[in-house]
Formats: sequence, C-alpha cells, structure tokens
Amino acid sequence: VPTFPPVDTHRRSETPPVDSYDAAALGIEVRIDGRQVIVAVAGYVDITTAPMLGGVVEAVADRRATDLILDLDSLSFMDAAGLRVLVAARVRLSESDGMFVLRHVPANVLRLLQVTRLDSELVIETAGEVMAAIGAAAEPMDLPVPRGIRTIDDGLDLVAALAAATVEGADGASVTLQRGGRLVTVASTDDTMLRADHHQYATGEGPCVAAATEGTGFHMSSVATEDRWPAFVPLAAGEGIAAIMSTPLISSGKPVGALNIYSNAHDAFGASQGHVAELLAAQGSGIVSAIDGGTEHRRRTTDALLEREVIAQAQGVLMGRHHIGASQADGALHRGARSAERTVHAEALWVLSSISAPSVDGEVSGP
Amino acid sequence: VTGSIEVLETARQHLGLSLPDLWYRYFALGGMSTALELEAVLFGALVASDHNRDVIAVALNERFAEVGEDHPIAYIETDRAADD
Repeated sequence: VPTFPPVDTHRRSETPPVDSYDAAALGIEVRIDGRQVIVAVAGYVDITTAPMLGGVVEAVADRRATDLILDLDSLSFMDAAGLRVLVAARVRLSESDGMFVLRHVPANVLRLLQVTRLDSELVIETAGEVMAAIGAAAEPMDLPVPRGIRTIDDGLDLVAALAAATVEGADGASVTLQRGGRLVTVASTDDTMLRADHHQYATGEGPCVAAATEGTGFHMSSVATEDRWPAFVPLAAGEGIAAIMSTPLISSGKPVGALNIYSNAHDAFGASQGHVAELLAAQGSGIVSAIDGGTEHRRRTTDALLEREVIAQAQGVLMGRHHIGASQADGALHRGARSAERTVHAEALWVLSSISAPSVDGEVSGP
Repeated sequence: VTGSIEVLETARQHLGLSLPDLWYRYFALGGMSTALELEAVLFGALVASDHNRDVIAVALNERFAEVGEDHPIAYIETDRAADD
C-alpha cells in the first residue's frame, strides 16, 4: 500500500515522487556575512514546512538593515505556501531597510514567479547566474529577463537624468517620493540636488516639499528674491543653487512626489522649461502608478494564494484517497462543488475537514 | 471545441469581469497560466488543454453563481468523467 501524506500540496508536473516525500524534508542553513544573511534552502517548501522558512525571514527582518539572500540551489519544490513566504519576506525586508534577493532560482519556481508576476516584484539574481542554476540545457530565449524592485527606481533615475539633460539651463535633477509618510529622494543626478532635497525635508519647506504635498508646481526663480521659504533658501544658496523648479508627480489623482530641477543660474527657468518638466513629470507619474498597481497586485495575489493553497491540499487528499491524477482530482472537486452548489474553495475546505472524520465517505465520487 | 472557447469570452463579457479579475479567480483555483496566456486563450490565440479550459470555466461559473445565475458553462473533463 503506497503511503500518502495526509496533506499533500504537490501539483502536476512539479509533483515529486510520492515515495520520496517527507513532510520534514526542509533543510535550512544560515550563514551571516556582515550585513548579509544567506539562507540556503534545501528540499520542499510546502504547507508543512513554509512556517519554518517564515520564522527565519522574521528573525532576519528583526535585525533591521540586514539583507536576506535566499539561496534556492537545492530546493526541490515550492508552491503556494512558499510563494506567500517570499511575498511576506519582500514586504518585511523593505520595512526593515533590508534587501531581499533570490539566488539560484530553479526553473519550476521561476515559472511560478512568472505566472504570479512576482518575478517583477522580487529581486532575482542576474540572468547568467539563473542560467547556471537551471543548467546549460536551457536556451537563453526561455529565460525571463530578471527584473527587480530596483528597476522601478531605475525608471525614475531615467526621468531625473532626462530632466537634467533636456531642460535648458538645468544643472541637475532629482525625484522625490512619499514613502511611509515621509519624503524620500529615490533618484538624483548629483549630490548637490540630493543635499538640497535633504535640506527641504529637514526644514519641512521648499519647492519640492510644496509640490510633493500640494500637487501643484512650485518655481523658485532666484534665491536672491525668494521669500516663501526663509529656512531653506539660505541652505540652497549655500549649495550654490540659484533656481529650483519642482513639478508634482500624481498617481490616482493625488500628489505622490515631485520632479525637482535646479540651476546654478538665477532666473534660468521659464515657460518652455516648465513645459518639458511637466512632460517628464507625467512619465514619472506613470512609473509611480505602476508601483501602486504592483502593491495592489501583490495583495490580491496573496489572497488568491491562500485560496489556491486550500484547493491544492484538497486535491492532494483526493489524489491519495482515490489513487487518481492531479487533473482528475481537480475535476472531482469541480463536480463536487457543482452538485453541492458551493464554491470549489468551500468544497476543498469540506474535503479537508473530512480528514479528521474518517467515517465520512463518498463525498466526491471517483472517476 | 473551438466553439467552447468562444463561450468563455462571451461569458466573461456578459459578466463584466475584467481580464485581471478573471485571472485572480483562475489563479486562486490552481490555474497555471499567466494573465497574458489567459488572455491569449480567451481570444483564441492559444489552445488550452481541456483541464485548463475547465479551470477558466469554473472561475466564470463561480462568478455567475455570485450574481445569482446557475452554472451555465459546461465542463469538458467533468462531464466526460460523468458519462463514463
């Protein structure tokens, strides 16, 4: 008699041989290297072992300002439960000022990350390393272009660089965003602009602060004549800045940041520069909207993963109980749900509840 | 069978379900296609397996049930199994 685990989340092509399955088969090896914590994960990350991995992530996040590198080189299998740990890790690490990086991601896990679009949310190490991890058999064409959180800031970097290069009279530019209730410079073409931004955050005033919070453009044509920001203006003059033009970034109708352009020359900016700045700020707004959309996507995907996990478990139970394949088990769940007039999720919960009540039988007819 | 794919897209439009909304439902049910692949299936550019097509049908049927209609879309695999 083959032994089936009571709860089996394995699915389809990723399903490991059942006889090799061991619920405790998760190996975690932790190495601390300065600011980086490298966690090598081996074996299966599923509903039974994911909490262990989640605990490690929590411990790393609690250290603050620590980067977590998850090395998946020896990982055999991961589905919904593991993905939820990855999503949670990304959120927790960003809250605690750490980077979260996936290293040596196996091809089957990459596929799941692509399906869920989490490949664009998570930092996955470079294509060369990914290719090495999945072997020489993989064609470069099959590989996703690894993208990361940094890509978003790269986009805003480009907006700042374009502003500095294309706005006539500009000597530098930066992009400020509201993050966690604070203003943060996420891209800057030079240190002068960066320091000018920080002076504004520290004094709580200036064209950038005004544009990012009020949602309209603010133009300081000359430090010599400006009287709206008495604390900031002398600091700007001290940096050698003569003029600043700040244009708001808008997402979902609300100000979310600003594009700031400065010049060392008084009265450098006029209407034509203002027009170019607005065009570039619109680009920046689009990028920020995409970030916000990503947050929404992450929330909905997490919800969907929770439901999917329950369905996958019930599928595993039916596969074990009736000695059927994954898609047959899915079909049995669909049929059971329809005849009981409930959702497949509710049917799956019902199948799982039947595990602890062995006398219940025939809830879903076999194939 | 090609007709049955058109049924899916017709149902989606009838329900007023956006492609992302359908994808989240489909993914929650264990679907393994990306949002782009799902779109390609609905518009006939990609041929779905019977199983994959059924998961999409379940996602649509559950929305029909939520708005008080019966499950109008037949399942390929389930109905074949029931005939056996």
